[in-house]
Amino acid sequence: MTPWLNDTYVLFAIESKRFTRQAAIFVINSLIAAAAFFLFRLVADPPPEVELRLLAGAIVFGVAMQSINATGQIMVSERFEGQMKLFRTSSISQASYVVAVTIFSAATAAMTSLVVLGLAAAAGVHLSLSPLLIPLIVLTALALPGFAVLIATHAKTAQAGYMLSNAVGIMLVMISPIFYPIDRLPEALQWLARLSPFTHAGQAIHETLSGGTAILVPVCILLAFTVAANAIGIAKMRWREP
Amino acid sequence: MNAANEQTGIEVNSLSKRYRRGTVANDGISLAIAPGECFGMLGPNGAGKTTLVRQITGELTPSSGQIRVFGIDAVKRPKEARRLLGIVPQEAGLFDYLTVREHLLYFGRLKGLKGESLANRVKRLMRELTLEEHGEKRASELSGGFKRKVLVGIAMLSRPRALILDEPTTGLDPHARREVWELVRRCQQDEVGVLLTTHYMEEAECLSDRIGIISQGQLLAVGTMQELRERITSRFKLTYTPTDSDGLNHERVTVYGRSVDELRARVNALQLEEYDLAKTNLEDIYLELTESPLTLEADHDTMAQ
Repeated sequence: MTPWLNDTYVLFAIESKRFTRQAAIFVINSLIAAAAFFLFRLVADPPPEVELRLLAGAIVFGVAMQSINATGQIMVSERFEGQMKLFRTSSISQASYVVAVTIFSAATAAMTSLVVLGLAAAAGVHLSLSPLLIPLIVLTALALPGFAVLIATHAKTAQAGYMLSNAVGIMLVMISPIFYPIDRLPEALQWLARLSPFTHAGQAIHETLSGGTAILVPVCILLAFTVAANAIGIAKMRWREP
Repeated sequence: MNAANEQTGIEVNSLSKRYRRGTVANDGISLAIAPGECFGMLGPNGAGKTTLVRQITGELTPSSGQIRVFGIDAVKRPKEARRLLGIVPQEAGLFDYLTVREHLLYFGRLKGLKGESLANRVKRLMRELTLEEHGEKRASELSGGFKRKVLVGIAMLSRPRALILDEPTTGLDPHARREVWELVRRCQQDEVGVLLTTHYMEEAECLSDRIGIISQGQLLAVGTMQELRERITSRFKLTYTPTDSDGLNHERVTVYGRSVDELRARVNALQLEEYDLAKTNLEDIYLELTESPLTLEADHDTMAQ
């Protein structure tokens, strides 16, 4: 194993202990998206087609919030509570650190989607559990944490870091028509919505849950976001304090 | 790698750090720390101690000057230089959810140790730092002192050639502090150079082969205790409790002098029966160099009062 891979693996193992030691918090977090789906379902009693769109929206909502917020919050707390400093003095690279935290956040985000899917299937929602869902969910989780890395490492205070990473996550989900078709939005907002990876993630997951496979374009867009956002995150993050 | 630099250990030449807003945190600092030497860095808050440490450890880029760590240019190749250093940063934090043993095992792996050598190293460090009983405790359950000991343990994992300890005993009880001192002494015996910043005069005096006194970003003096004592005008001090005509005691007074004879003359003049006559210690030297000079004239005023 190369030193870089070793460092990334060890850092991921350190972050994973967070999950095993604080599992209840992660389980509660993963139930929020499921709760949103079942609340909509109960209130609106939607037809099957709309139900799948709501389910796709709940998955994207859960994955997006979990991946951006978890990345942001882990990095803010580790930066301001001194653990990042400990990593810096251990000669590891910033790329190892970012990749480890991002993968951990993506993994917890993927778990959120599994909870939503599992509960939906158990509740009798007719959905297609295609293996294509796995790369889609993973790409959705990896699409934007790079921006959370920037926010967390440049924020002047811990509070600003927490608030900004939350706000960015919420804002991106809000501008993305994940619970309804994009053509319901006014023209100008459609343009804005197409800039969000979560719009494309919602479309692709909805298509897959409905049994379709026409997801090449949204997958390419998600892939491009993943590469660009994470490359920017690693390159522009503040590893050394000024 | 230059053989002379290799022997020097840590070498800092004309190091300056000027922040964007114009604050000069370090101004032309030069020092060298040999393998096996403990160099104590003393200075008031904001003097520039931590800035110096952060530059040596590659956390901050100097505005000018050179740093070499066992011959490696630490400004151009900070990662390589850091591999030779064990660092206890002042504001480092542990992971609340990891146990003491897990901290040492994970960080050992980050420092390239594995298998039996890692297990043996962790076991030995836990014994030396008296952490064995606390191995399975999470960091959130540890006192501040024990947390500092774990940080020292992490710094020692890779058997560094030099240790950078930025106020390592802050928050430790006297017992724990002495355990860290013992560890520093053992490192010195193993030819590990130590840069120690501290607020504790006793610690600097007890551990350091040489002491540097820094104030307002400048290194005011460097030397052994004896050499520093020779740099100040007052080599001796007389401490006594004045008594007024009613026989009431006042606050203790300390006066400084260039020689024992000079202070004995004062004892006789004041007809003191109880007094302490001693060499000036590090605290006196520190105060003279960083704040108010302990001049004889000033003492005359004190005496007159």
